[in-house]
Amino acid sequence: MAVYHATKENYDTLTAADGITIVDFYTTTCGPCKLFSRVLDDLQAELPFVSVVKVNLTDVPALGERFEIHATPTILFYKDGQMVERRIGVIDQDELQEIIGGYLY
Amino acid sequence: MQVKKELRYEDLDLSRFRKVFHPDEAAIEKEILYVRQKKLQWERGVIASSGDVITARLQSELQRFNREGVKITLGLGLLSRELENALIGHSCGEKVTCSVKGTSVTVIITDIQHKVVPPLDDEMLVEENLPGVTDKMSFHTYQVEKQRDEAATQLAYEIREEVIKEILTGSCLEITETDYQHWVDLQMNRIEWLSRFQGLELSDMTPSQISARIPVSSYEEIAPFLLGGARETMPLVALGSARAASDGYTVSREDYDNWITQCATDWHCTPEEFARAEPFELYEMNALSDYYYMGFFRHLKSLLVNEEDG
Repeated sequence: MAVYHATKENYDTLTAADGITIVDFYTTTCGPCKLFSRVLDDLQAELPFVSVVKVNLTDVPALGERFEIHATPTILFYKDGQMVERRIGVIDQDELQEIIGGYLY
Repeated sequence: MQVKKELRYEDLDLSRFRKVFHPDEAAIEKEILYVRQKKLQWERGVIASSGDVITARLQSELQRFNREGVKITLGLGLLSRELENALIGHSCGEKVTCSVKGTSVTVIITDIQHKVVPPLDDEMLVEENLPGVTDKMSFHTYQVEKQRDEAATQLAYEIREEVIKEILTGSCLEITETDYQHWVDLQMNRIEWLSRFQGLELSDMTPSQISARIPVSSYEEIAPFLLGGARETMPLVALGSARAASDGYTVSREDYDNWITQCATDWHCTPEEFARAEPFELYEMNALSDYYYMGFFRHLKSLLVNEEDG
């Protein structure tokens, strides 16, 4: 699984890829964000063909404004470059795989 | 606001809440796997097995199973558990036909990627950068301590409301409606400023804009919500003030300034602007409430004991 760190400039390119891309909007001081980051690490071992884009809102506030992120973690799902789902809060491993499976197949 | 009499948590008999801690070895094994998986490699496989990622060509009358270049992690069941199980044991180029929900599906495996997770070594553990962890033994000790702290925190959370109620019933605090209202006013001012930093005026915000920030759905509900918070917080502020005075603890101006500077960075405003949202008075009240609560919480956590002490 490829893990990318987004900037204001590369966000659109990173999320335009074919297949499934998960965007994780987080802040470094957010406890639930650390939990979700761990879920994404575990996902890497199961679904290496799913891409992950991480957006550190402390470093890139412009992306938070652009996507109206008011809580973290906020998670966006892209399929073939199109945003298909938006979720707020930690998603556990089983539910995350179920969501991805729904868009993959 | 005054504490006329305090029932100290140290003087309460809380033995009914004592619990014995048992380490969860299966959870520690999971942590070890997590560390090992950071070094996992994907290698081309010959025979498909559970956990492998295969690429396949699917042919079927069912649209879901009629496509090229599909990547499937065998055994997860995300595409179809019966189809995935049918592919285990087959090799690249093999044509496999199976029935999914009564319909025939033909699969040709075009690639197999096999997951290789290396065994645990001390170098991997050192890379985790965990305090005091240099080898497997110290990693195990660290994990047990972490579990213990989590279990103690959980226990303290479960019993805290009941114990606080007991403390407040046995104490005599003088808190006036003006005291509660003052805390509500400070909080309301804070919310208004934070909304303005985001270009919004609190009184004009839509229900969804409000509920995204505060757990209420209208402007009219904010003051009653804050008043509820005041009734929970002010007794802790009073108890914290009394304890701070007897312990010789004072809330530091320097800590406040550092905190304001950090918040200003997070909110992309100046420290002076953020200080209008969070004046020292509010910070001090929160710090005193925390001062009491942290000591109280530590005391509750000590009710979790090790097996040998239980």
